Amino acid sequence: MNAKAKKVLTALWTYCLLIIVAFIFVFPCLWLVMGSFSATGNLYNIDGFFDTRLSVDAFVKLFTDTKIYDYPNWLLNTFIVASLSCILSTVLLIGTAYVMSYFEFRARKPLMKLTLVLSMFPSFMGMTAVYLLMTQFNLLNNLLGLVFIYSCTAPLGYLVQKGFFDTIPHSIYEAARIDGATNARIFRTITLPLAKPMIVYTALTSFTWPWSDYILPKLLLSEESNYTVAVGLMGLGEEEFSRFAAGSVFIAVPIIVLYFVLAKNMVTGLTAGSVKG
Amino acid sequence: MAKVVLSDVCKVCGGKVKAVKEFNLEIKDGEFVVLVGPSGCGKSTTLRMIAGLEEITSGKIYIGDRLVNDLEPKDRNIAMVFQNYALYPHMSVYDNLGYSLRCFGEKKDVIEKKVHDVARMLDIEEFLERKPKELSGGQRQRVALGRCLIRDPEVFLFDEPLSNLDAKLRVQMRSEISRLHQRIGGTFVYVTHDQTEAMTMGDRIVVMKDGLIQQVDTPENLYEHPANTFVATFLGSPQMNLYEARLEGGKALLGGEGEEPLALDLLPETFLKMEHYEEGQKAIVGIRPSDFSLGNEKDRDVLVEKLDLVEKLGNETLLYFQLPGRKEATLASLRLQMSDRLDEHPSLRIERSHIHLFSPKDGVSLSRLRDRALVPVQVEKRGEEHYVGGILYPNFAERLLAEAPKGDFKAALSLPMDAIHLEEGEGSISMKASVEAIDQYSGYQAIYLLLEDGTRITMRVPEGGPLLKKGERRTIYLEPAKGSLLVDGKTVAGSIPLPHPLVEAAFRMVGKSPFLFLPDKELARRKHYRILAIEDLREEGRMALSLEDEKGRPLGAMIPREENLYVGEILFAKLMKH
Amino acid sequence: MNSFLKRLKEFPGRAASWFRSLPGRSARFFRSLYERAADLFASFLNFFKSSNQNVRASLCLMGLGQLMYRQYGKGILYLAIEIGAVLFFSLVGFTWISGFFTLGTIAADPWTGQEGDNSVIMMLLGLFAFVILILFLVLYVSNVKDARKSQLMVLEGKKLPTFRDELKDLLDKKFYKSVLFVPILGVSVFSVLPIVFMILIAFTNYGPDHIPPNLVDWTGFESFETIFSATNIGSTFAKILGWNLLWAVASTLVNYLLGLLLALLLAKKVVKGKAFWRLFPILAYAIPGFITLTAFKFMFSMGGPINDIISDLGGTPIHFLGLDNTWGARFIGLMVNAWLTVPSTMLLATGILSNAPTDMYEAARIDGASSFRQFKDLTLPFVVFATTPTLITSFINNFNNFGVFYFLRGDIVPSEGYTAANDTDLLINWLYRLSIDNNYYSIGAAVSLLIFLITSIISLIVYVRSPAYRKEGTFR
Repeated sequence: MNAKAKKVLTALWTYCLLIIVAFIFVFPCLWLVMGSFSATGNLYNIDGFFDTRLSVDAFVKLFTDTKIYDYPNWLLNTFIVASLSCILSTVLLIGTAYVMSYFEFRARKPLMKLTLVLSMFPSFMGMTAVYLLMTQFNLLNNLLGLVFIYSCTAPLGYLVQKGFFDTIPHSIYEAARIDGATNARIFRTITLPLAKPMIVYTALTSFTWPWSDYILPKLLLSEESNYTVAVGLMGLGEEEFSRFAAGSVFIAVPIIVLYFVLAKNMVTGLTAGSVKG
Repeated sequence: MAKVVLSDVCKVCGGKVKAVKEFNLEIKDGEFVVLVGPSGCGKSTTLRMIAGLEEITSGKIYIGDRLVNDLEPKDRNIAMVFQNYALYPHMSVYDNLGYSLRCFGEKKDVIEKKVHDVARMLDIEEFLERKPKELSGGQRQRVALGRCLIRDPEVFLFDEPLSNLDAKLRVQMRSEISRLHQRIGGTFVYVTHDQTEAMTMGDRIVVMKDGLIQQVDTPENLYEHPANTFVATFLGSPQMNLYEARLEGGKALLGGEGEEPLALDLLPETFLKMEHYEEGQKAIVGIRPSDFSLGNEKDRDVLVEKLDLVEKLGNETLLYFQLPGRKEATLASLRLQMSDRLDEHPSLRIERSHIHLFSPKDGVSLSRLRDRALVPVQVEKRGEEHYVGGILYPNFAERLLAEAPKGDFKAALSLPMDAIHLEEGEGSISMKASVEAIDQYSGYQAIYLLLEDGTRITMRVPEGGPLLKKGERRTIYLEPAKGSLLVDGKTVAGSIPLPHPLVEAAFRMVGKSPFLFLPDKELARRKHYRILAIEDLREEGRMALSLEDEKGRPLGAMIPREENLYVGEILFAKLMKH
Repeated sequence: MNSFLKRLKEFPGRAASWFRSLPGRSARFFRSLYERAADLFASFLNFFKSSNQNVRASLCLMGLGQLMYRQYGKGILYLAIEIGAVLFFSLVGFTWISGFFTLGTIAADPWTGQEGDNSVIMMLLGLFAFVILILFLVLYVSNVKDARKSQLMVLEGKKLPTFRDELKDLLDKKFYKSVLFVPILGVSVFSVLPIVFMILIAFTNYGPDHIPPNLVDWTGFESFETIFSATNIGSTFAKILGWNLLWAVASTLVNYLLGLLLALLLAKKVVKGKAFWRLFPILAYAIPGFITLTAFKFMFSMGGPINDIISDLGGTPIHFLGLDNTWGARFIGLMVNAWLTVPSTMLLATGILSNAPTDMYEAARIDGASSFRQFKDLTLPFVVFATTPTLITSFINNFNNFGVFYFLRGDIVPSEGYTAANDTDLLINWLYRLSIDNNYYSIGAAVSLLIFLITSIISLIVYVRSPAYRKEGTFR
């Protein structure tokens, strides 16, 4: 076999594999999207994967038929929680990571060890306690309670961002100190502009987490008027398949678009966390 | 513009390792000083301590007349160029230059004017709108320089600024920085590991190794009179050749055991410069490659048996060979004329006045300007005071470090250079000495003296001072007050000690009536007492207070000397038992 | 392997000597503890003796020394803190703290209308009071230290900073304090406090029979004894732990290898339009997990599309996620999890591969290494080296992977031989079912502690043995 034929063969199987991979990843999504346009709406009544008759009924019903399933309200709740937590978490997280990366102070090493230990505990081990705390703070059934929990626990995940800040040479900070800048000014005029990709990554992840979280809202929100989309959609059974699919598509699309637009920042964030973590 | 003084500066890193040890240096106003040494020698740490980026463990740093130990970098009136330029990557050149002015709250139009002035000066005006990553290495370097210039600081600090540039650009920037120094005349402190940079740029060079200063002097003096083998081999390219040798009969015998030694005649002066000389003593002989020259059959020091390699570099020719009977490679650098012929066994001459001798023990030069002179003296006790060489030795009790012999005793007086004079001063011992040899340094002369009792000392006479001739007899004057006393090599009385800050604080209380806490079982009292006098008992680690209470009754008390047991207006004291 | 056997053989001897030396070591430990305490006391005595009246004033009353140094702003602030703390503790703090120890004494009595103590709330509030107490003590110490600093500064002849200077310092030298204040407070309240609370709960009898208004009591290690006993709960724990470990290893390996292979496939030179091909995995990555998981559940359900096709082809529908299909459901879980996490592994591996030194490959090609060898000898060590920390986190994440089986089989009733769990549940699912659905709070807390123990030990071992730890610097 000559080199050229070998090359063509390699290309052939590579592309075959790629197509298979793409199919595996795209098929369930496609199924869901098609399901949202299904006219029947009930999973039991659809034969095979795709319904033969399509309509936009599911979407119309989603926003008009709000008696039992008040989707617009859920969407609004989710949006409030996600955007507030996103802002707060990003501020706290970036600040923490910067401080842990640049400043030398006595409590630094102990704090780092403590966060490491904390991260070893199962994530919702303290769920019961959080629930009780929320009853004490009178924040049960309150969207703000969710925001507090999301943003107050966010700084624990500072290692990824710290990995990024560790790559900024200290001499830049030192030059700025000699130039007469205070540390707050350095943070504002030098660190933040330099950390733009990391901030985008952080904001994105801290937006999507509450946007798509299910357990915490399920636990803390019992009144239907306060439901987030995740809690609401999970109440839909197989008979309401197309409504579920439509609701899902509607909240998944913004996230997907964000991810695609910001894919470059994602890679920055993921690698920053891995190499130095 | 300002001078920079570092006194007894120490830096301890990570709890134990001393990165910089007892660093003493005075950088004059407008001087260009280069710190040079291999990596890890503490030169960068020193620079960063001057900048205020590292805290100092002990000692003092002055910039101008201000003690800057506790000042923030921005308040020290310094500017610094970093190895990787440390430009702000997200700002334009204009903003990079103007950043510090904005931090100090300058007005916009002032900033604009200054930025343009500096940019014009450095020829970067056309790049003002660009980002650092769109600039070449040399241009970035210039922006970094401009960022320093714009603040008009008193002291410029450079941390290996050229090591990221390629060789050609490095040479160009080197001269540019030198020109800048001439033009603006600030005090420059420059750190590099590159000896060429150090030699070409510095007014004075500080050679460091393992956190210790090896030698401080002008480039010429360092090259001509290296203080030890480290300085000798670190500076100068190609490196100096070193050989173990024996000194005998006015010659240095280079040769291994049982070999026919190669004998090099030394100048008779060489032996006069040495502090001690014994026939047959060992020494390390150092010869720079450039001190070899081509000789002929009659006039030669070395006949090369076998040439290992010859490299022709155009202006010079490098010969690699082995000296007869020696294994180590020798390098000679010859400047050959077209007419010179290099055969297989060339005869070489060695410039005899340029042969360096070092001690085999610690590598220190045997014929160097010694920073301390050791003079045997008689110490007499008259009453409570002690006299050295007939002159009052002040504050003997305070200087006493160890148990000194009682009564009269013989001791060696150890004197720093600035305690030896040619003119008579107050409280100085006069001694007769003959001038044995004179070394010409740039800026001063090194005088090697022989005292009447056979002691050899050196002294430094600055340019413009009295002219001395070889063989002349002079009276010299020693100031014992500045020296310390040694018996059998052990210090028994120190030079006047720097008082401990807490001791100083206590002495400031003399004459005042602080609130005193005197814990004694019978007399536990807390009152205001007047402090009449304080006696510093160094040896006991205590200070004795003479006190007086409100009714004028005298009282004695002790306080710990250097412990932090008395602070501010309260003195904590123990009653003295009489 | 040999070294492992050797160590195994040595183990009894080592353990024996460890126990033999225990008395001596503990004696040494206590002696050093005593010495340390003595040192501490001596240094405090020294500190006290050498203090001036201002420092002592601060020692007595927060802020007094500062006021005596004419640092009014700071002094008043400290004073206000002390007053606030005294008010808090005298009004509620002490009750809360004592409640923490008693966990309530008055049981509720519906007949008399007696409102009982809520033990759990008392414990929580007690903890809260402890947090405030610690905060107060820290501030108290800082107040004394501050006065001492002023004393020394006066001695050295320095000027004392004004209140404004110190506020400015919070934006400069002490910027880290200002930045960290909120995160530390938030994490303490919403993460540390709950975890400590749950650790304590593990040592109580807070369970189905002891829910407020019934009183809860400290019971020591009873919950742990239950877990390790031969009861139904004990056997459930053993079964779930075994499956959980298997799951964690299998899913980590599958995700890691598939992600790496996918990244390598995309990194091949022949692939044109890499960004395009990468879109598909990112799509899977971007969709919220609960949506995809529920969708998969629908897909594999009895009336779902896959069973439709099976019946169309003449087969009988399979209850993929049903109660009886243990291994089938487990396998589906593994695959679904891979679908969810492979994309992020791929992105990560892509980032790392793009940093791989290319000259390494060129040298290998010149040396005649086949592409498989290049993968085995160059790519794999390099990537493994760079990703060990993430491998550990991914292992722990998988060990504690709640979502997959919660969404796929959350509604499946307990399997036979299991208490409050089905056969695909991981420890964390069990923990959820125990405490949220069935009120076995103390047992749930004990399980959490065991999970913590297991994950931290495993990650410690992996970390210490990892190439990143052992040959730091090879790839830097």
